Amino acid sequence: MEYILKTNNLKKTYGKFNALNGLSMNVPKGSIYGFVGRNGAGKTTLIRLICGLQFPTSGDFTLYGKNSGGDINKARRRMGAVVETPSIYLDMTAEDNLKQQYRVIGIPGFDGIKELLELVGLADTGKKKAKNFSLGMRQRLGIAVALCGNPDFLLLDEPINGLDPQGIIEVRELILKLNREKNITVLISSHILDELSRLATHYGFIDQGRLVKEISAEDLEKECRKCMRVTVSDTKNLAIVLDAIGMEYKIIDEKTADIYGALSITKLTEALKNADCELFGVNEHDESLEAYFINLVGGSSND
Amino acid sequence: MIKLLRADLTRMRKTKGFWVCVIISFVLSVLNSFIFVIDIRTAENTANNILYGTANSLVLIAVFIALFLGTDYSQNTIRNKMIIGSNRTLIYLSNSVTVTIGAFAISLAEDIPAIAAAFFGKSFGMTANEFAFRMFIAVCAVIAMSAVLTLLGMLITAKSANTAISIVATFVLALGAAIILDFLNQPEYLSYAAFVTNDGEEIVDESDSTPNPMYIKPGVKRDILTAVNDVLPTGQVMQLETGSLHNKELMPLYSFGVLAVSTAVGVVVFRRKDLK
Repeated sequence: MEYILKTNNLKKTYGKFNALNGLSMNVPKGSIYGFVGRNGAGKTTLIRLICGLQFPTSGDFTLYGKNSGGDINKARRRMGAVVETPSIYLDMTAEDNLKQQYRVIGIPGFDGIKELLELVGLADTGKKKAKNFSLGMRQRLGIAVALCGNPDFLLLDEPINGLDPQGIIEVRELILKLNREKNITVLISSHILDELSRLATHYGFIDQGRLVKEISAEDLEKECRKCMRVTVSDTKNLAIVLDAIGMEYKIIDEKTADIYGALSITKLTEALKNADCELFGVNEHDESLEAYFINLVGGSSND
Repeated sequence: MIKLLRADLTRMRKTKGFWVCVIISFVLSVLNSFIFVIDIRTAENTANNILYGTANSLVLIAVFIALFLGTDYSQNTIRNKMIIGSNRTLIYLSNSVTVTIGAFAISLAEDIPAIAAAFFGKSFGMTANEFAFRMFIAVCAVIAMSAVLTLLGMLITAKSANTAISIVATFVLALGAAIILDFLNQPEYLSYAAFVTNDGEEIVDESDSTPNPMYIKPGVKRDILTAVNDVLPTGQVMQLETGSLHNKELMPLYSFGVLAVSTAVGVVVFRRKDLK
């Protein structure tokens, strides 16, 4: 697998506080990498290091194969980012903000600005200054600024924080569009897990500055797959029945079990009756990303 | 560097705060020169009026630089330069050159009415060469002061704190320079007895004179204060304002030194600075 970003034992210390504590992660090319963690887990710190806003205390990372200890700035020309709040001039219009970024990058002419504004849904803002934009519009303008250099790697730090439901949908659709149509790899940090689960193809779970688990959405789906949770008089009898019909299952306790795969309730009821096992209840059950995350890092909060 | 400079200069051109400072500088100078023109028949040294304005524009320059550099931090737009891989040294230098050009524009807005008013004066007060050299000293002092204010603006990331510190620092440096100059220009005696002989020669009787306690005798203390006032851009501007320049030939060199040291310190610290 080809990776755009690989971090190796990254550490970042502020005084005595370890914001990153030996973080190693890999972002595959073409993915939407969901970077999940509580507030203060180290998500923004990592993004700041990748963007060159701060320097690691120890460890290193490679971006497009260029090591952070070497000529990383050339590799950074292929990326864009929105860190925390959108970086835009509030006294300028959306178009002027993009023109300004074009000048910073050194793109001759302003071709493509109209398309960028259309892409983020800000083509009709005219002479309205960014200070009069809604939070969602500012966020989309921030993403447009990040897209100015035609990057193929986009870092978005909490891009839906504070947005209304409409704004969340707009930003989500924009990210999916960028990934699918322009093949842009996206690293997106968030603690809004439900929203992230609609986007991410890969996940990295961070806690206290360490990467706890890195997993693809496909594998995560398997781990959190849907099942039927049944309550019976005796799970030993249930196991015999399920073995006989060849179903996959997991015994939770003496009376509860999870059954995976499609199953006819009528047939199961009949089979259980024949095995002298009473069926008390059946519920559809699936482990959410939220539950998976809590199981992974523990329930206590460090907010 | 050219890309960043082009972007920064365009932003400065579109910044309201910059034009407000230029207009205020111009209006203050017009008011000052207008009053000066009223007294035109008695004006003996119109050149000093032009040089006098540099001190007034320093505060406006401090406000402009703090607001211009502070905006990049307060609106986080400095990130846009770093994320795409711009070199930190070049970001610093581009900002430094941009605000220096802005500072020139503010000074020029102050100079134009003063120069126009000089044509109405009774006497210019100095030779063209002397005036040109003193203007050169003023220009160098503005460059040095801009470098000091850029150092503050690039290292203090909170816009309001930076603005307050820059303005206070400019006032303190200007006031300090004025106080030092006042000490250096104190006469040795407060009063003295003098006799005029029949030949018209004046003889001073020092035994009957009152020594000035504020006078700083020649020695290490006087040398240090003189050096400080010659090196500080505000000290140079104050000397231009009063017309009494101690080491005018060295002043451009001192300004270059302040520029070099401020920029070197700023670049070194900014290169390692953690930004949010």
